[in-house]
Amino acid sequence: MTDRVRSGQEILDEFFTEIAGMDGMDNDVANIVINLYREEKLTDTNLSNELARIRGEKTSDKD
Amino acid sequence: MNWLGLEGKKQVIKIKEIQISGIRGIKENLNITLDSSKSILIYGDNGSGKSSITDAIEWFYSDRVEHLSSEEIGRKGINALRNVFLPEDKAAYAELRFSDSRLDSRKKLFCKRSKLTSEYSNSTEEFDNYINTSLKENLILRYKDLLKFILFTKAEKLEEISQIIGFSEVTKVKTVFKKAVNSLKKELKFRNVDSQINNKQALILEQIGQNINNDQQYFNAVRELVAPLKLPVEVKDSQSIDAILKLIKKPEDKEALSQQLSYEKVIGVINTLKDSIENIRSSYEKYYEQYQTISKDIDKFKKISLEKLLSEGLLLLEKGIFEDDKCPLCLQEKNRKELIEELRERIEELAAFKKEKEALEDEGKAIQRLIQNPLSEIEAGLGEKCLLKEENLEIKSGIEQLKESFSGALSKFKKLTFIEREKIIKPEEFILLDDTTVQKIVSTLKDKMRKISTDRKDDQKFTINSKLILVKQAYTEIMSLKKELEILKQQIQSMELIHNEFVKKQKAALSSFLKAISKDINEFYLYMNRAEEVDEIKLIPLGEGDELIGITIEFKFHGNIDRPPDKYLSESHLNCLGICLFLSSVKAFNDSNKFFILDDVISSFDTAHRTKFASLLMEKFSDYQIFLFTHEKDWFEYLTNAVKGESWIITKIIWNYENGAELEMPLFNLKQRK
Repeated sequence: MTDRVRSGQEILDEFFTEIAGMDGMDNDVANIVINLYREEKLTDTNLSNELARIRGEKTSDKD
Repeated sequence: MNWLGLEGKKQVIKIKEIQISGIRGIKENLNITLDSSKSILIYGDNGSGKSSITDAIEWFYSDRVEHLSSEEIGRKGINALRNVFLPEDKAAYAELRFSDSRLDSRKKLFCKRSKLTSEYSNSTEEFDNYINTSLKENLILRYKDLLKFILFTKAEKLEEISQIIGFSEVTKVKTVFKKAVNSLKKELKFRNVDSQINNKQALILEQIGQNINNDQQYFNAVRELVAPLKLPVEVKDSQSIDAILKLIKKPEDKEALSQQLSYEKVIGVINTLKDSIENIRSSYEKYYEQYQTISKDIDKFKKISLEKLLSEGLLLLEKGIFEDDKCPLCLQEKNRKELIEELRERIEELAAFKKEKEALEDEGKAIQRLIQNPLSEIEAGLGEKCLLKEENLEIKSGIEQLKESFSGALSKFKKLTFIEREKIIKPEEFILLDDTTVQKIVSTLKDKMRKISTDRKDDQKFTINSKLILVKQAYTEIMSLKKELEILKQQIQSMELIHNEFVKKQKAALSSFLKAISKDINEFYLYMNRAEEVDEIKLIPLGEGDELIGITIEFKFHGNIDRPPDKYLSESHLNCLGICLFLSSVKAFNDSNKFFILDDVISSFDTAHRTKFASLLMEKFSDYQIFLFTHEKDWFEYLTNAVKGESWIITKIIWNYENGAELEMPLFNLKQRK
């Protein structure tokens, strides 16, 4: 085999470094996803809760 | 992960010596010295103890022996690992010495407080890392496992490959992203923000005769509204509006204004309710249709619970624990291969049905939430002060009936099962709301609210104050709802972007991996089957939408592309394909260990294929340390000659009652023998 096989972990690590630079990406969403991944807490419940928390904070923000 | 040697350079591990005692057929100490990690060919009759060596090595690395792992044996096969004649106070062990001596370790299996316990003598972190790394590598192939991957369903093939290349985690992350997108979209539906904004806009229009869409329009409208009062305040921002409200406030108006706000709150709840019901009904209609389709075949629902039992039966057959041509569950006569295929098909069918059922259950939960939201709003509305007045008891009772319609539907819906089809409510009967009654409630509430202003129509200050309070509150809520909507939509857009990009990456990575490994599989297979009409063997990913649902093996047969291989290939050719898959995965995944064990894998090969297989190992795997076990005497003789001049150790294993499995002594090295 000539091409080196990239592991799932390598694919994940690479992807999470690319999220913040995606066109049209909301910074808060990118930060939530990246941080949960780094903290090894990326589950659908944690992600939904964090997104709801940010929505709450931003909606109540007067600006 | 690459194993780093003493100088921190990447190095690969080979075995220098193996000592086994008290494991399976090995009673006393069996010592295999492999002088500088040579390959070894061991011949032995069936039951002589060859597989005991494989079992010991498998247990050393994985703490389990796959082919002994049945529910009956228990503890991942370890309960069957100790030699039956070994005294209880004596430890069984497997000791491996490696090309890197830092990893040398003895693993003991002993009884501690009547429990079987295992323990490594090497407790260093580097050894621990080495074992963890080795667990992800393919070190052992047994005859029984040859067809495993080939006969797997497409979903099982994907799962197996995903496990090996660490793709399971990738799939999990993709599921998290997908669920997050769906959950945000549902949230958008649940919040019903557009409807709430429209109701607030309608209130503003009614109060001041115009729409307000931005701050400028809002300030202009307020300026016009308060102009008759000639106040000494310029309307330019929210603070100035607050200042005006303070200026025109009269203590005697407090209760009337509070009542108006209370009426407005209840009117808002009922109006939003009208829009919610449309949302609920359209979702319920879709649910009802799906429910009817799925619940038609009630037997399928009942059979879902059989999935576990069928899977257990399949496991018994796959592991070779049950080898007869009979069904292990009902004991009816049945061709083993056909039975395995049939069981796989049934399990796959039930799994697909279970998935359909779970998707419908999710829809059901969404409908419950769609009902629960307005229900909570009605409950809050019923506590409003305007409804506590005696004159409004009839209205209150009407609203309570509305509440009853929602709570009754919710309660019936929660009790609904897939088995009692007759209990499902028809869409036209789901939440019966009489539009005329609802309309009457709203118009009565509006009349009451208006009356408060009409009673004070000559009080200009009160009229303006009342309108200003209602407009201010409505506009503030509209802005807040719009902001909420914008944030939610931005989150949906971003999460969709993440999910879509991730799917692209996952597909590209898997395709590239499958392309690379397919190249090796095809090369090895053609090496052994040159003159035959099979070519272009490929592992192909299968998808449905953005979902990867499996992997299939495709190949060219007499010039036509076809799948799967078991459709045309003989058992011997399928076994050959199984060996090629294993050898390709050794090349692809084994970064740390440069050895592998082939335990009696060529039984179904004819002479021509056996010789080609031997050549393949010598030519393509000359840099690997190979442990080759066989009970085929002719092949052993052939190999003994074939490996002449190579660094191989040749020996025989025999079993006797007194000593158990023993190697023929002395082991001889072909180079020395020449």
